[in-house]
Amino acid sequence: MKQILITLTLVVLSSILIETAFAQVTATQSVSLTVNTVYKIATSGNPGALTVTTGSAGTDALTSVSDNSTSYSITQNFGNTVKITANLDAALSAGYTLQLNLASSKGTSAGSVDISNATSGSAVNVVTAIAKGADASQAIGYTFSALASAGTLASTSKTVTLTLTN
Amino acid sequence: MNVRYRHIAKGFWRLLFFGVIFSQFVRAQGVNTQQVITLQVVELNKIGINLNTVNLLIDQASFEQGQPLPAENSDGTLVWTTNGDNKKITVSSNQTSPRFTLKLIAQPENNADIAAPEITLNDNTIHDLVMGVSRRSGKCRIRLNASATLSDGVGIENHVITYTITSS
Repeated sequence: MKQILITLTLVVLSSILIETAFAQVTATQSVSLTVNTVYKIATSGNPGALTVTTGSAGTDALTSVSDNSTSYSITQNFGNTVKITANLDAALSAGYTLQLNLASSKGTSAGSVDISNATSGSAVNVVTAIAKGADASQAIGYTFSALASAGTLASTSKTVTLTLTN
Repeated sequence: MNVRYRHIAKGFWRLLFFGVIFSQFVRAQGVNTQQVITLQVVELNKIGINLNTVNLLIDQASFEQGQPLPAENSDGTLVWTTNGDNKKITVSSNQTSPRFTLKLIAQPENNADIAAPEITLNDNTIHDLVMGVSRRSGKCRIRLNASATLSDGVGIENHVITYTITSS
């Protein structure tokens, strides 16, 4: 009887030791983290029609018109030398001028930039030295002007491409 | 065999390295967004004159000519701008049967093509003043000359002179 009790005691103690030993077992995982280069730019929509409707007698330059109703947003983690360029799908005829002004809180705005002759091969800088991060809802301003000597212009659509690039 | 595996491993790592570099380069080319803008210039015809009111007072006479001396004002400048084609500028007076004689003398500046350098505004007909106005701004000096004969007597006469840009 005594031997049976000793045997049972040993079994119970062994079980406790085994449980304690299992409680120290660990598992490991290797987690790989990657952040790719992110470039995002978007506009809020299209501006309203820019129509020159008046001028002054004796002055060739007609009264210019502006639109500041749209905005753009960017996000980028590439670097601090990122810029935005602008170009038209086709240049404007002589005597018509389209200027573009992009506000920026993360970069340096070039102010009003003439994009009348900027096409895909000759895009012009409108914002430079953009720092990493996001810049939301920055104003886009367009100013359209015309000379009387250029004549009238029937309603014409132009596509302006804003490119976020390094 | 080990050497062969070593070469394969080197090639793999080189490929991976240049692949990562190339992918960064491609990504760095930039992204774009587009806006469509609509541009239009409507036909504009603008004309103006700097003097809205001119008083011509005939109060002198010439003993030699035996007639009152004309009164003249040459301070007027007519300016215009048009982006249309084949326009002309006309002038008219609202006086249908004036007692005194009012002449308008246009002196061209900057390529104005004067149709009639001197126009007598003795009825309310429309006279061509400047022809061949297309897509340009221009101006001309306007001289107004009022004259009267002794037989015209005395009095006050008002003219409303209208300058118009219109199709020729």
